[in-house]
Parts: sequence; C-alpha cells; structure tokens
Amino acid sequence: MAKNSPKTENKNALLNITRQREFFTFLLLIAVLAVSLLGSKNFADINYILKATSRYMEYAIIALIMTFIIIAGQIDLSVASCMACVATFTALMYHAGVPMELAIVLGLASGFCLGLVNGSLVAFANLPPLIVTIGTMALFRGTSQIFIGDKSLSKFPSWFNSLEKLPIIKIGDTLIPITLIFFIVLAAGFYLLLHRTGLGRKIYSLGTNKTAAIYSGVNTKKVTLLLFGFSSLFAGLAGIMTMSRLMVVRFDMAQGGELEIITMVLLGGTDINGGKGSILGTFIAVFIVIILKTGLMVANIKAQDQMFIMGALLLLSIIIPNIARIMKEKRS
Amino acid sequence: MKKLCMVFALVFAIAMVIAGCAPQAPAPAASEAPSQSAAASPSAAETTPAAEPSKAAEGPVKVMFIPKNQGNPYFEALVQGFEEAEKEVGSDKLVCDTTGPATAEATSQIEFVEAAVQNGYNVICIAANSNDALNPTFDDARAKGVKIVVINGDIPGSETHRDASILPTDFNTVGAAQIECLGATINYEGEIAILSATTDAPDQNFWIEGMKKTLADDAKYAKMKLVDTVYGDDQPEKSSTEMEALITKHPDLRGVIAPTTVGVAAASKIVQTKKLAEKISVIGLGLPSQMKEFIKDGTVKQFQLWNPVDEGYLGAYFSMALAKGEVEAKEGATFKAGRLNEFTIGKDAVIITGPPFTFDGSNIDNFSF
Repeated sequence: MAKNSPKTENKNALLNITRQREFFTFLLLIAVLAVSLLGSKNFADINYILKATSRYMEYAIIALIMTFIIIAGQIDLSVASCMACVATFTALMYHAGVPMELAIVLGLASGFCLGLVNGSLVAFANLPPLIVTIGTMALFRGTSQIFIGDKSLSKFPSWFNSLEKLPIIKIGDTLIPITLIFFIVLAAGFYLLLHRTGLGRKIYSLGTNKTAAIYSGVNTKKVTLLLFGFSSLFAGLAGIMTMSRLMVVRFDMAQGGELEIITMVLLGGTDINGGKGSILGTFIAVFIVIILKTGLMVANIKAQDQMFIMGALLLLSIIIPNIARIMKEKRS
Repeated sequence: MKKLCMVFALVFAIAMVIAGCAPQAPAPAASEAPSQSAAASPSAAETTPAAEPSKAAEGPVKVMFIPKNQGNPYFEALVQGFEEAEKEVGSDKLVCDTTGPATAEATSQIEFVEAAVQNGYNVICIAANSNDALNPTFDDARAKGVKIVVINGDIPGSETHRDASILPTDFNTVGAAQIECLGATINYEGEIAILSATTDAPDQNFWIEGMKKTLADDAKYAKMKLVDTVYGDDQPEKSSTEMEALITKHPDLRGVIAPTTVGVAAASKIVQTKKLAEKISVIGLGLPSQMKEFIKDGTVKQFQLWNPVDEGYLGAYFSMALAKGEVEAKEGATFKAGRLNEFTIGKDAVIITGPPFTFDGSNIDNFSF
C-alpha cells in the first residue's frame, strides 16, 4: 500500500473525500448558496451576509458542544432556556451592583452549575437525558420568568453592548463580526478535542456502546457530567452574547432555539443515536442554516414556507446519505 | 490532519464564493451614511437600487409593513389599508409590501427588519413585538437612511429609536369607552369581569387600568363591581376555559369585558353555546368579521374597536410623505392622508388615527375586516 504512485494516492484521497458524509453536507451548502443567490439579487452582499451570521453565532457555538453530546448518545434540550437563565442571572447581578466583568464570570459559573444538575441527574440517577432536559428546559426558563416576569433588563455598560460589532477585523469597509471569528476558533478547538484526543475517543465510545465503554475503563459518569456541564456553560456564554447583541434580557430569549441548534447538528450528519458525527459536519451545517435562512428572508419567502423548507431540508439530509449507504450495502 | 486541511479548504472556498459576490452589490458604506438629499450621487447609478435608499427620490417610495405575526386577521385589515393607499396613489409612486414572522416573539422580527433594509425599502412600518429588543436593529436601519414607523402601539421607553408612531386610537380613552359600552347594555349595575390577553400584554394592562380608574372615579358606574380579571393568553382554547371558569365562579356575573379580539370571540362563543345572552353581556374589542354572527343572533349587543383599515391607509400616506421629506416627524407638523384629510403629529411624534368605534347591528354589515 505504501508503494502507491503519488497519482493513485491523490485519486484515492479524492475518492475518500467524496465518500465522506461531510462532502454531502458541503454539496448541500453549495446548493443552498446557489439557491439563495438566484432567489434575490440583494442576497449577494458580503456585508449583509456577515451581519446575518452574527445573529446565528450564539446557536452555532452551542451546536459545537451539542455535537459532542449527541455523539455521546445524549441530548440536551435545556440549552436555549439555559441561555435565558444565565443572561438573567448576569443582568440581575449587574443591576445589583456587581461589575459587569465579574457578573459575566459568575453568570458563566452559574451556567456550569445548571449543567451539572442536568449531568448528575443523567449520570448518577440514571435518568434518560431527554426527560431530564425537557424538565430543566421548563425549569430554567421558569426561573428566569420568576425573576424578571415579562419585563426587560437593559441599561448595561456601553462597552458591553453590541460586542459583535467591535471593529477589530476590518477588510476595507467589511466588518467581520468578532463572534464569527470566535466561532471559527472555537470550532477548531472542538475539532482537535473530538478527533485528536483521548476525550474525543471516549465520547465516541460512549455513544457507540456504553457498556463496552465502561468495560474498557472509560469513566462514563465523569464524561457525561462534564459534557452537560460544558453544554450549559457554552449555552450561558451564548446567552451573554445574545444579551450583548440585543442590549436587553428577557425570559423568552432564544425561545425554541434548542431545536434550531439540534437541526444544525443533525444537518451536519451527526447520528441522533450517537456514535457518529463530526465537528466539520456541524461547522458546515451552521453555514447552511445561515445562508438558507438569510436567503429565504431576503427573497421575501413567507415565514410558514421557510419552516417547511427547513424541515424538508433536514429530512432530505438524513434520508439521502442513508439511501446511498443502503444501495452500497446491497451491491456488495 | 487531512480533515483539518479540509476544514480550511472549505472555509476558504466559502469565503471566496461569498467574496466573489461582493463587488456586485456593495452596501452603502457606513462612512457615507446616506443623507436624504444625496439622491443622485455618482455611485448610485452603478449600484443596485436595493442597496441605495437614497435612490428613492426617483422611483416609488417602498414601504414594508411588518405585523406582529402572520395569519392574524387584524393585521390583514391593516394590509388592506396599505393596499388601498397604494392603489389610490399609483404603484409608480408608492409600493407597499408585507412580511412577518410566524410567531409574535420579542426577537422574531429582527431578521425581517434586516431583510427589508437589505431589499431597499425606504420606510418600515412595524407593529413591534417588543418595547426594546428591537432597538439595536432599528438603530442600524436608521443609520442606513431607512425610516422606522412603529404602527398600532408605541414602544414606550424606546421612542428615540424610531422616527414616528401611529396609534389606531387614543389609548387613554379606551378604558373609559369600554366601561361605557358595557354599562349601556347592563343598565350600569351588577358584577362584571375582565377577560384579557396575557398577564403582561402592555396595551391590555393599560386599558384595564383605565377601566378600573373609570369605575372608581365616575359616579355613573358606582353600581358596577369588578369581581375578577382573568387571562386567556390570546389563545382561543385558554380564553374559552377562562370564560367558563368565570361563569362558574361568579354566578351573579352580569357582564364581561374582553379587550382583545381573541378573547371577545371566545367569550361570545361560550355565551352563545350556553345560551346565557339574557344574563351575561359580553363586550370588548373585536373584529367585525369574527363578531358578526354574535351580533346577528343577539348574543352580543355591541362591541368596539378602531378602524385598522384606516390605520394602514394612514400609515402608507404618512410613510410616503416622510420618505419624500414632505413632512418631518416632529410635534406640530401636518400632512394630508387622502380621504382621511389632514393630520397633526402629536407629542413624541405620535399620530392618532381616530376615536374608538362602536359596532352594533346597525352598522356591522358595512365592515369586511
């Protein structure tokens, strides 16, 4: 094998790429981009697209950790509620006189603790994560509503408002949102963690076969606990980012966001049953969602029709690769 | 490592594709924020009309109406008004479109505002879902020269983030008008209750406050006693359940005020099925189309609302005048709005469409919304 000529090696590498699940996701991205460009001439504006990305980066960073969770055979539906809850805590602390910097750190810490609640119920009480996080989904949002009702908390320090617009990286007149850069760096970190470390292997083994993972010495309880802890930590971070972008905190912040986040992960080819998936897939899927949603929006497609298209896309993205796989299995 | 390389290759490829689009439609750079007068800057000819709000002076004024949510008959009546104005003025001078979110969440309108700005609309008329969550979005839109007109309810505390506000009626008078409307049907005496929208709905709460004040201050209503206030969350099922509970809980109930279109229809339906019209009088703020059957069969004697068609019509005319610079969004300025004649802009750039209107058997057939 090692003595292959460089040409065949290249060819093999190319074939390998086309066989990967991510390649299909990438094709989908190209298709979605083409549709959006055809849909409206006003879509092809780099400033507009970049601005639109900043609206989705909050969900996108949660999608990264959600990829870990789903690969590990778990699910966390409480993330969007956790965003609201942590943002509420942070804003309340700030209004109680805590400096914003400290309030953010404490807010993130509270997020981690919320995640540990999820994690311990799943890991130590052996409860199904679906049920646990449906419960905490209502619990976290309820907590937020108890504290602030239907009011908005605002009047944050001016340095904190609209952080995504900080002109740190600017090419000509094009401002690259700082949240986008953050997401790309974070994605690289998550990529290395999942595909290059022992922790990553543990997460895969947890999702493939939990019993086998236990017998091969994986501390599954610890891994699960940490996964949920970090899930809520990043959700809290996303909540604080939303708070900065909107300059207000409300209890209904990011309502229904958990489904959009899970859509991103599944669209990227991660298997809802666990054991399969990649950060690259999620990374591409995030941009599919952004491009498609922005494209449909600017093409003036009705909100109901947009939902239909998103749903159909998700189903297709799951069905088509499976058809390809089944056909391949039949042939061989 | 191969995968990592692929990540970068993909990012690069996407960046190239998107960057490739850029030169075709440069958005107005922040530095040259369009001043209204700069209608024919030399660059305007090369760019797409969409990205240059300042081109408006030549083509029609483009107005985008964003309702709280889609599929809401009330807002469809406003759209009717916008369309009427467009037809009257001619679509070479005025183009009115509508788009909106599926649900009325606080932040669900943000992307619609951004898309309308991107699509080159000159004025955005919006029934805002939040008093403050849209502020940064409004600021960005206005920095690009787009006018923001809040319609059908103001955004208290955030008035500096919009250009003007159009109200359907003077909300200060709604509470008192509703009490009078109910009083007239129950001889100004007996136990009454309120069936509202959500506990936090700002408009409804403001009117309920007005009702309570009227009941307390005006001797005419001294024999009317408010026994309960319940909330149907503007959902038909919940409103019906709450109405049924009211009837059970207060056997001496004489009247119900439902200052929300969903609530008043649900309450009327319950009274109709339980055949309680003789005993309980339902009034409120309702849509003629939904309330027609109850007026016709005598379940409901009268109810109120303002005229949302007029409101949309006014919104279209005002937007056009504002975009053309014919009127400034300032207190005391005046403008003409077609068949509705002249309007004067009030304090905080608020424009009031007209007084509350009472619908009954004699006039309900004249309205189709």
